[in-house]
Amino acid sequence: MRAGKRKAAGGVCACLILAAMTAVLLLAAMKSGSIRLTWGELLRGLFQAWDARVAAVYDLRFPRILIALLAGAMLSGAGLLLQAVLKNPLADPGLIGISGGAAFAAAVVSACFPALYLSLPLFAFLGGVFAFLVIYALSWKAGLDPVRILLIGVAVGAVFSGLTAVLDGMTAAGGVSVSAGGLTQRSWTDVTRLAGYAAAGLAAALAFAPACNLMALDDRTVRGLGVRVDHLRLGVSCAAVWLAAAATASVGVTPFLALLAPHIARRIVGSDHRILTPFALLLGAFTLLLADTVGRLAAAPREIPAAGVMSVAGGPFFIFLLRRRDRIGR
Amino acid sequence: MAAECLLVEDLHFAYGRTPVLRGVSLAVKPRTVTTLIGANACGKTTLLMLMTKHLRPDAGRVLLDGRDIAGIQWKDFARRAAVVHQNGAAPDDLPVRALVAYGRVPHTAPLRGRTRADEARIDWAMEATGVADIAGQALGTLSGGQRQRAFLAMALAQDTGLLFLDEPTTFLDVRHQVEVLRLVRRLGRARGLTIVMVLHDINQALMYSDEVIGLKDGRVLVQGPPAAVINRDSIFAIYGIHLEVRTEQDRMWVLPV
Repeated sequence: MRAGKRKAAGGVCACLILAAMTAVLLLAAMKSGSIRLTWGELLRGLFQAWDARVAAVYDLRFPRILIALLAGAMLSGAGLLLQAVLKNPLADPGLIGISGGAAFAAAVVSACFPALYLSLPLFAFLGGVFAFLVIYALSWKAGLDPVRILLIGVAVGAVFSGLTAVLDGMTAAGGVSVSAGGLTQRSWTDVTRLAGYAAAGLAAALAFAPACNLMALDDRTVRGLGVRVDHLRLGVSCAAVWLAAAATASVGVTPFLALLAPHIARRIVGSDHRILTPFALLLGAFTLLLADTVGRLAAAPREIPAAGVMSVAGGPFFIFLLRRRDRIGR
Repeated sequence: MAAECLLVEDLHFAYGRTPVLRGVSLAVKPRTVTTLIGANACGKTTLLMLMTKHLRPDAGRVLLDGRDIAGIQWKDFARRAAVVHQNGAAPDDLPVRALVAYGRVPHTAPLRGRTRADEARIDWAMEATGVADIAGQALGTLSGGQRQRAFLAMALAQDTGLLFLDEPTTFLDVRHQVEVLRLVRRLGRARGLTIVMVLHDINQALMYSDEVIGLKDGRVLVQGPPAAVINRDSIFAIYGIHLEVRTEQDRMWVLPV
């Protein structure tokens, strides 16, 4: 009991520290770029007096930063929920093709029905659900084998990204797809558009924390406790796909974030989702903003897309996880 | 605690085209320890899964106090019957008390916290199984015996009249096997529980059961008190091997060599 409380207090502390780090990163991200500001200028311009240069930063850089934060939290949440529902720490909506399905649906809609642009995330959601159902149906064989679901997911994801490429080639304008790392040239309209979807999805992720905890037990044990585990799984899956799809529709496929952030979070705060979920959401926000900011500054004035940074940093990490799993397996 | 009466009527079940149970009927007497025995793949665990709603029979039914369990809501069922499965999975960093507390889930309304009575029941279950002093320890740090007792405590926290145990001694060394079985028997008697378990070890089945049910090829061969139904012939019928059965001072055992 006492140990439990101490652990909870530690988790809350970890969340607060990470929130503070995110706030510092946010200010640092605002400060740096082609318009250079000092800390003093930035803080004065934000909180005290109007300043033309700070206002420009506020309109140009801030939306991008907020979208990176939101999308990062959403992707991390999607990964975390998916890992809980599939009982598979390697599940990642990008890797197993959910993001691919969402991106394809978004591409189809923006190519064929540009008027529906506003509800793009909804169609992306449908695409993601479709991809998830296909993967689920194909990998179900007396339970879900972790490796099987990854392999089938990779194949499904490849088909969808191929379809997106085909669609790209067929449409004259080109570039209809929500291209990777689409964090550039964002306005406040984009922020408000994403915020609604993000709020619903992130609230669901937090509300499902006790459900995710239960799902860490065997299905038969959970059912034996009188809980309709199939209903839980359906709800949590929907929230995961919703988060992944809305984030993908907004910023494109961002690999590995949904794998990396929950995994590091689990190492730091443990597997109790009542703490893990808020921490993982924060960590996802922090990580994507970091990736975007690094990408923005590393080769300035040119930009490296956040997805590129994530791939370079996340790929080796994924290999490391796979190798470690192998060792434990033996 | 009301004594639950469990009745199995002409149960048939197949995995795909492979028949596992071919017409099983039996009655579990209230407040007794009943043990299902039989050779590998005779359908013991399948029968336990059918008796606990985890599988649906192809034909026949299981009655709990006269009601078909297929028609009982999961939550109601969970308040009346608890199951300790083989090899339960749980996160390694989950504290023992948090695991045991899950046993209160069927009694707690969603979004409502646990009451003081819930907490008391959790503490009692941990005391009864001897895991109270490791309440704060993570499951990953426990020995096999401690882990098994933690899962048993979770089932006790469910506060049910019926307790099912699927091979509760597998993966335990002999001392922990005996400890768990003694604990089960003691708790059963003290609380008036009706206990149904699956055991591999025939001697443990004889020693700790009021009734044994011998299965073979998906049918019940024998049912009754061990002394009445276990002998050289019935052992051969159940397991397909001739073994010596000895009785000494009211204790019966089978030489498994």
